[in-house]
Amino acid sequence: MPKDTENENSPAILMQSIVKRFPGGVTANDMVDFDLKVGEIHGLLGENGAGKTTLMNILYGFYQPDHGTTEVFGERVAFRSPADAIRFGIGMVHQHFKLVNDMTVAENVVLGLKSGRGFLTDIASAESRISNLAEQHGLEVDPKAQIWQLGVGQRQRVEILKALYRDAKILILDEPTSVLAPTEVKDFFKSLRGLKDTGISIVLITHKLDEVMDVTDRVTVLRKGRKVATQPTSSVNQEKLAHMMIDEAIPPIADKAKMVEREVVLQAKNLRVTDDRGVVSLKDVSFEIREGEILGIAGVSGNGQRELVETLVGLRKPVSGSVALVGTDVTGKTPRSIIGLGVAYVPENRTEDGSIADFRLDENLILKDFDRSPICNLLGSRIPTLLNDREIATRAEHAISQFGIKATGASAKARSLSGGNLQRLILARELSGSPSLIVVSQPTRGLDVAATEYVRGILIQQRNRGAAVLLVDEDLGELITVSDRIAVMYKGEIVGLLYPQQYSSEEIGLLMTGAKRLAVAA
Amino acid sequence: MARLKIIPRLEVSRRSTLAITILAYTVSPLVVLAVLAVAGKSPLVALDALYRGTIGTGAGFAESIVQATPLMLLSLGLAIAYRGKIWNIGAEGQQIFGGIVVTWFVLFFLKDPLPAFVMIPVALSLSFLGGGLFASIPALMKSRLGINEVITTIMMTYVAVQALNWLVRGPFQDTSIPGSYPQSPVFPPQTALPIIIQNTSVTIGIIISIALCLLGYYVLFKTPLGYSIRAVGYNPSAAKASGISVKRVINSAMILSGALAGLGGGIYILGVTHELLPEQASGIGYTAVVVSLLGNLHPIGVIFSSLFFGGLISGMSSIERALQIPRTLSLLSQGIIIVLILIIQVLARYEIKRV
Repeated sequence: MPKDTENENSPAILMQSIVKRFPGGVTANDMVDFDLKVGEIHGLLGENGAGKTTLMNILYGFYQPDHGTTEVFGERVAFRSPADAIRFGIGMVHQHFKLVNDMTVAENVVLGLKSGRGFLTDIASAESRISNLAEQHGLEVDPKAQIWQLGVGQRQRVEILKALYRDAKILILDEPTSVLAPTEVKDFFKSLRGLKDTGISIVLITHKLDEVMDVTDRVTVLRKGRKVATQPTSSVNQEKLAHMMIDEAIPPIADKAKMVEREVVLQAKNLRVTDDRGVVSLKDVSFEIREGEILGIAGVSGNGQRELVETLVGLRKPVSGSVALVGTDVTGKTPRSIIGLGVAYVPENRTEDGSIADFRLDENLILKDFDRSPICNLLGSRIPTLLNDREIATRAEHAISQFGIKATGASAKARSLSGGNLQRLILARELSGSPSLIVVSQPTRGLDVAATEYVRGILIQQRNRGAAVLLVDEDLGELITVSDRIAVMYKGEIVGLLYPQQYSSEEIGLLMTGAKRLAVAA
Repeated sequence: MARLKIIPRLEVSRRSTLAITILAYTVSPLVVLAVLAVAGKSPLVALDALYRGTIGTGAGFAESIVQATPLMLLSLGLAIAYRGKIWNIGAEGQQIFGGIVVTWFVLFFLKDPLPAFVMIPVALSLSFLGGGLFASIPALMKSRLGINEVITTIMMTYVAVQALNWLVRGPFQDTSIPGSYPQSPVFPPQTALPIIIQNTSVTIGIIISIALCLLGYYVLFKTPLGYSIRAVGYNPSAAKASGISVKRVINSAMILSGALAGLGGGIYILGVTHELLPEQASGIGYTAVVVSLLGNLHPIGVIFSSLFFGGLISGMSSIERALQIPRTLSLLSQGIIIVLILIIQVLARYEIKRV
């Protein structure tokens, strides 16, 4: 239990030498130190996969660290679950809200707490306490409203009230502005400052530089699981932060054949696309990719890349605009017909969208053409009736040897493969039949060095063969190494279309975080 | 301190699956004998009755097969749908509708009976189509509107049951006999399925059922349709991303599943009752849910689980007669067996490890 008389000098949080490894050899946190002063707003900055959320999940008791110590208000703790963290006055607001839509604000806030009236709920007193808290902290929301009636910004306030109701002294906010509209962000920051004035200490996880500059007192930058630095915000600027955040070590550029006289393979014109909630996530996006060209899409995740990829492969219908493949209009066509035109798709999420974990390797390899000759025919004829086991076995054997997939055999389940081998399997499937356009998203995320090198090599090999490649990537170093051109996306727009040789990674980083914008000539 | 932890196995070998299955099927009836012993009945007498009601006597064996026949077709259909994670709970309604369609065709569409070799295939085909048609309603509701199929298939079963009750008391009722029982006229003899074991009621229905299970194995594992059903069941988003139309798969799996249930209803009416009775709504469609799960949602597994269950039904009624136990105790025992087998099958996917 926290002591009643907190030591004025001890920090709210002191984490030392935190190490967290995940199965598969990923070290998410590597000897990270972190401290949070009482009553400060502390920005935790880093690219995706830098280990920000992992560190905070350790603090919140979701994960147990492999090494390192944590102190809360000077007291040594080892949380086994979020319930422990909550008892010590820590509250966390996740990127994805955890609210029950059909309940009122008050019901959501008291969910899981003991009622003061035994078996009966005590909503009335909860409502009045919530109103008080809301007023005190400038987080106006009607406690009687049902969650589904509220906008995203208000839902976020409910999440914060949930933590305050449980007497949180420390608030961890995971990418809180990613769901907010610009005007809402302003209000939100105002409430954050209000919370700070009442003595609450706040950790703000973000990858947006302007937010760090705007609202934080100090900032800690993580890169690839390691801490780069902790500095007072007043002593840094956006350029400096971008520099710290983004890896400078750029591997040597691989051999690329020179391409001349090339045809346009993909032409996207004025694409306007909405996301699952109906919010516009691509506004007026136009670009083209030619044969033998890798167009890299740079950007912090959630700036419309997913919607762009899904639109190109037919999984999402654009509101307006058009997509043409080698001159054929494919706007709004089904994935099946787009695949039929020679489009390969290597999705970001290998286990959820790229493969079927419970299918065997050979079954996974026929996912795109299982109902077409030669995989499917009747006794050698062209009538699609029976799966041709011999053909399937030959393909599997070929894929396993050509792509060096390490597995116990073609009948091994895909779930038994490591990340790198699963990616090889997906590439083997997608690249069969020499596609003219290859849409690839985060192809090396979570892979080890060897597998990463392999995947990059394959992409360049495909480019040299004459394929057009669209590469969505958050690893800027990789984009610069592999791409012929880079389009930077920010808030659903292309804010820069450039040749990587002509720009530094810091400059691209500024474009990615919205601090800068280039005139785009498509 | 060493702690024991139950963790899922990465891969379950085919041999251990088989061993566990055999274990489950032999251990669970023994537990029932123990229950009967607790209830003060002689387990030895029960064991003897169980033997005679299943494989010990010709009559017991025949009754087991008769019970297994329609069950096998219904379970096969459900296994196919469930492979695609399409939760058809309405095999009951679909088989009833199959029976209704057959009755309409045999008694009302045809003024004069056709020869058996025409009549039977046409009647059975109609029951197949009828079941599929009946299932197409929840199929379209799910694929077009996203309405949960569990609810719609259950509701459709109510529709079928009430339609049956109305028909046997109304338009289909046999008015030639006084007292007006709720039943249709008896079908002409040309419609009776040929008997394949003399002096029993085992018909070619069992051959059709086993043949369709074998065919079902090919459909599920060797054709593009089965492949797409399994792909959608395991991972709809990956299936979609690679160009499979999830809607079309939902429609075809649900309709095929309903068609097989309809055929089961047709085979039941032409092989067992030879008339439409309110008892066509026997609850077999719900039993089939369990039987398809017992068969590991595998068409070959379904052959065995249906035969096992047919034997169980026949064997338990033999025990009922021999021990003079109430029907409820026999149903309780069946329930225990099912739960035990399902638990053992689930546990087989885990292993105990020291951590």
